[in-house]
Amino acid sequence: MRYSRREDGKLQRQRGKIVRVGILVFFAAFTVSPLFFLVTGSLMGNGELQEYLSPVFSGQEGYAVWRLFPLYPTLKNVVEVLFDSPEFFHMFWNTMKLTAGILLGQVFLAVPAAWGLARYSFFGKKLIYRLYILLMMMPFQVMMLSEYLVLEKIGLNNTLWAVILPGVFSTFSVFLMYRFFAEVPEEILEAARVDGAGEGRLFLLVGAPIGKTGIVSALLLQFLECFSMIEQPIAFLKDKTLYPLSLYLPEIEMGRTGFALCASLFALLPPLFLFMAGSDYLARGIAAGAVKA
Amino acid sequence: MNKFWAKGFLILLGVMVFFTIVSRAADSFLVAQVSVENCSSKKIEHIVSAEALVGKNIEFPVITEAGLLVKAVYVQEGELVEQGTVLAEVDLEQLAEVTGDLQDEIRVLQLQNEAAEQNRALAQEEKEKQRKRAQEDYDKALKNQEEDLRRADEELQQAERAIDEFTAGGAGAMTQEEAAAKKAELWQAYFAKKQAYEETEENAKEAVTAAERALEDANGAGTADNSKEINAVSIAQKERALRAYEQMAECGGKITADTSGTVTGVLVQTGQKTADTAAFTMASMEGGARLLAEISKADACYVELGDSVAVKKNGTEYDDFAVTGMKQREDGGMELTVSSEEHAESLLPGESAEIRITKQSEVYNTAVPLTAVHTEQNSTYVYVAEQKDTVLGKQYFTRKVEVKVLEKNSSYAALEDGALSSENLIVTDSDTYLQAGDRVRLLEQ
Repeated sequence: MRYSRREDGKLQRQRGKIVRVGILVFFAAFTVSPLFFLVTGSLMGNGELQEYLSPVFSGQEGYAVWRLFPLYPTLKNVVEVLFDSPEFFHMFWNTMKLTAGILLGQVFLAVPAAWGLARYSFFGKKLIYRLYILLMMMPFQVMMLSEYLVLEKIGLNNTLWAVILPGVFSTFSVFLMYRFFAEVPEEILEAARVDGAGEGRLFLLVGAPIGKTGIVSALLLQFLECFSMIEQPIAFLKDKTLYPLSLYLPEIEMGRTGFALCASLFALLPPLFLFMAGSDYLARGIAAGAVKA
Repeated sequence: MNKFWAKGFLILLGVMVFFTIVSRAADSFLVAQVSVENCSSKKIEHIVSAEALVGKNIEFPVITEAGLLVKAVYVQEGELVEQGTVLAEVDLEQLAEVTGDLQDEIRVLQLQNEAAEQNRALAQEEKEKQRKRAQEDYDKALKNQEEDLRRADEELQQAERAIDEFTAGGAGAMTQEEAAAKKAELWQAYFAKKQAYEETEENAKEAVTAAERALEDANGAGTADNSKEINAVSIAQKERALRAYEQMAECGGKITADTSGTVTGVLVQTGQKTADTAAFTMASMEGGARLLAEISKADACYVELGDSVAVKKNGTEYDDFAVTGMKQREDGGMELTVSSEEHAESLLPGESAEIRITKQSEVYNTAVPLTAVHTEQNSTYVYVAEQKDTVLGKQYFTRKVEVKVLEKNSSYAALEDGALSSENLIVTDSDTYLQAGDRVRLLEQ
């Protein structure tokens, strides 16, 4: 009898697990479906895509349909993106320049700022911290006009610096790294001071290595944000030669759906690789930001 | 940090660098390279050119006597000859034979004429004799007629008188029956005389009529004989031929050109006899040179009578020609006659030369090279290269502009104003097929 109850409980647990997994798979499928559309759509010809998406593009009655596998698979879109779209690569490298500039700037400015805010006591520290949080909460549109006026005044509008400089001073990275630097035990720092380490050495040799997780996760999240930012380039860049990859899709002519999907797929690769490379750091960083905020 | 994905990211960057270079190279290779020009004000010049053949001017024959053996021909077709130039030579021996034969023929005809003359005199004499005889017969018939009629009349009157006498009392002692028989006898005699008279009268008339006809026949025209006149005509012809032969013999058997000109036809051959037709045909130098050319339907509309024409032959150009004749062909083209009062010595019949007629239109404000104008179905258009800001910088793209061609030649087309401005860069040439919206690279501006 006892055996039978145990078996029943095990069976129920297994059923519950199956249901949970099923629900997760169901939602995961929803989440992954855009990626699936990108991959399959990239391998479809424009004729096939036109047929499936005609209700969307030409306003016909009915709903768009999709196939698990292309009816007539083709690498035409891939070839076109790789060999016949220099503008795609031009914009990709624009994105990389913006992202690299912002991240580099944050390494030199946001990391010390977060360290100073986390480890030193000074007048108005709380006010500054709250100001950081306030600025972080503000959407870009609130800051856009003032940023535009400043950048215009100093003559940086319509240059990559117009996007890089505001990005360098992003408050989110400081906020995220602040949490990690605040966790560094004071005893370790005191010991280093006793051993004769100056404040600079404390930061570089003790604080930074210990807060590496926060730095990396902040930079990764910032990379993902920079790679897909749209509003800043639109607001501050007039010259199309400076446009980042995030503005490439609007440049694609109508009727080139397959090409657009394929270009999007290629645009997804760098963030995907970095996300996979730093997924552990990201998880910890996001958890830290979520728990301790 | 996951090293695998981190390495993958770096490799991805390397791949992106590689394809950046490749796509740039492919783009520069695939983008159409075009030549552009601005439209300009221009007169459209139409040059109608064609291959022309120098035509024969006033052509005349060189005639010689028929039947002469040609010993040598000294000229050929197309050759320019002066007056007196020996064109050909006939065989003198054969000429002498022909001349002798002709003289014999004339002599035969003369003898025939003499014989005919004598025969005609004899016939005339015979005819006169016959006429005289007929006249005599006629006179005699008339005389006989009178005599016969007089005698018959006398006999008839005697019979009448006998009846009258008997009726007046001649019966006497005769019985009634005898008197009646006598009277019937007299009347019978009377009727017999009367009939005899009538028969005599009829016979006399017939005799006179026969004599009259014989006389008329004797006075008739007789047999016509024109052989003498015919022979005289033949003799005259042969004498003319004889004189020509003699003249040719005096010239040594040479056939010469009467005037200067171009030999347009050689109708005799060495070793053959001359015919009744011309031995040579020649075109006169008078009247200048005349060329014949054919132009296409497309060019025909640019040519009018009186247009100046430049004629070029062997590097020499003659610019005083004019269009003097135009004839429509079935296919819409035109046959042109181009003439000048000079250059007959330079442009010989049968030679070919190039003619060129140049016509200029009014000034058009919008003229573009013809290579810039495209026609598709009922649409005529040009491509304009326009600069646009793109991700890769300022680039040129084609825009299709519908135009209306007012006039064109082989190089330029005049367009209706309004569609294009002088700032527009008109695509005049491309190294690949173009479509509206294509990105292009300018070769020159």
